[in-house]
Amino acid sequence: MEYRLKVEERSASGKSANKKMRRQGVVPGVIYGHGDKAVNLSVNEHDFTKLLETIKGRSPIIDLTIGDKPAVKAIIKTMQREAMTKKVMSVDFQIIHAKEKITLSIPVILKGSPIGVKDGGILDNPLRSIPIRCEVSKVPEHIEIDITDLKMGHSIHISDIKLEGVEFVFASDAPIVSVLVPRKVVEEVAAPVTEELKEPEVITEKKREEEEEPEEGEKKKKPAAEQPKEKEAKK
Amino acid sequence: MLMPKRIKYRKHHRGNRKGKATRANKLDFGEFGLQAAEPAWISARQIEAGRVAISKFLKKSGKLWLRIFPDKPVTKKPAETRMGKGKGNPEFWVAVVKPGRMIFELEGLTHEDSTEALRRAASKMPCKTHIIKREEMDYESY
Repeated sequence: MEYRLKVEERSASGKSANKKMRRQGVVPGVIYGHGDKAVNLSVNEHDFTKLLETIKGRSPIIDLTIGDKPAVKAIIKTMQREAMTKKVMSVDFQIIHAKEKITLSIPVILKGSPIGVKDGGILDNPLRSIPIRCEVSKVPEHIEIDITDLKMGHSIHISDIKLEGVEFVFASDAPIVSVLVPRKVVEEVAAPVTEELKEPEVITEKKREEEEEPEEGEKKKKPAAEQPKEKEAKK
Repeated sequence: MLMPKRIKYRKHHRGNRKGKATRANKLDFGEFGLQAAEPAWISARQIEAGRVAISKFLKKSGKLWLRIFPDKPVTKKPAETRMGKGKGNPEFWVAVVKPGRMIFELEGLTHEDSTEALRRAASKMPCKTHIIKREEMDYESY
């Protein structure tokens, strides 16, 4: 499937200009690539969110048209969202060249419900997307993993996935999905809360004590030095 | 209750809670999460109450992550004390939470169970919160 997006080149940059753009429904972006000069872009927010909905669960290559120039192939390298509203704040595209190796994250889609979960296990999916390195033509949109036969205490590792011409960035023993054995429920006996909270160890107090020690030594020396003076005074 | 093991200074300034959370503001571990919608100081006691509320509901299923830690000491002067004579003694520990901060994360439960567990924890929190579900593909995770 082909995904297309039309963007415009922008000259204004900086915090206030970007804020103004966002108010007008335009997302500031940038496009860069291996050996290419970075170009600032303005992306229509409505078009971009529509595109994001269509590519949900995939990591596709997008045909990006900048102004009147011919379309270039690009991937969404990174995106920033507002913490609360989840609005897109900025987007980075990376131009990809044919036969060039690129690094990108591919989403993992789990199929079926594992036997281990039916037996009472907990499904843990620490890697929801796997960073890979491969040629542009061999980039998969997503990785599907069938987990119906996964028993309790077992896991599927990166080494279990076989994709031609694809290198995995992470170690081969990194687990993608596992069914954890549920922990035993230990009935907690409520301890009386009469004890006062212990204060944590203060690191700076130790240092102060160490600094004070030599000072005390000096103080001891001082009276010894003063003694002859006092004797002279008495005379 | 949660508190640091070693600290550099016993008493802190009050600090400020302006702005939004710039870190830990998205789901990094679980499928569902409880996100703060207001700035607040969440005490170790409140965090523990939330954790207990969730783990009682979960029993032995699911996995829970705590995304905040109370590392700020709050001092108080004793009752009926005249002003002056220095800062009070540390009484309890709080986590400074700004809007957008993820407080708890959950995994391995159904949609209904996750939202119910987080709703119970939310009732123990001193600020407004939202329950967040993970999107299918997050480009921020690159």
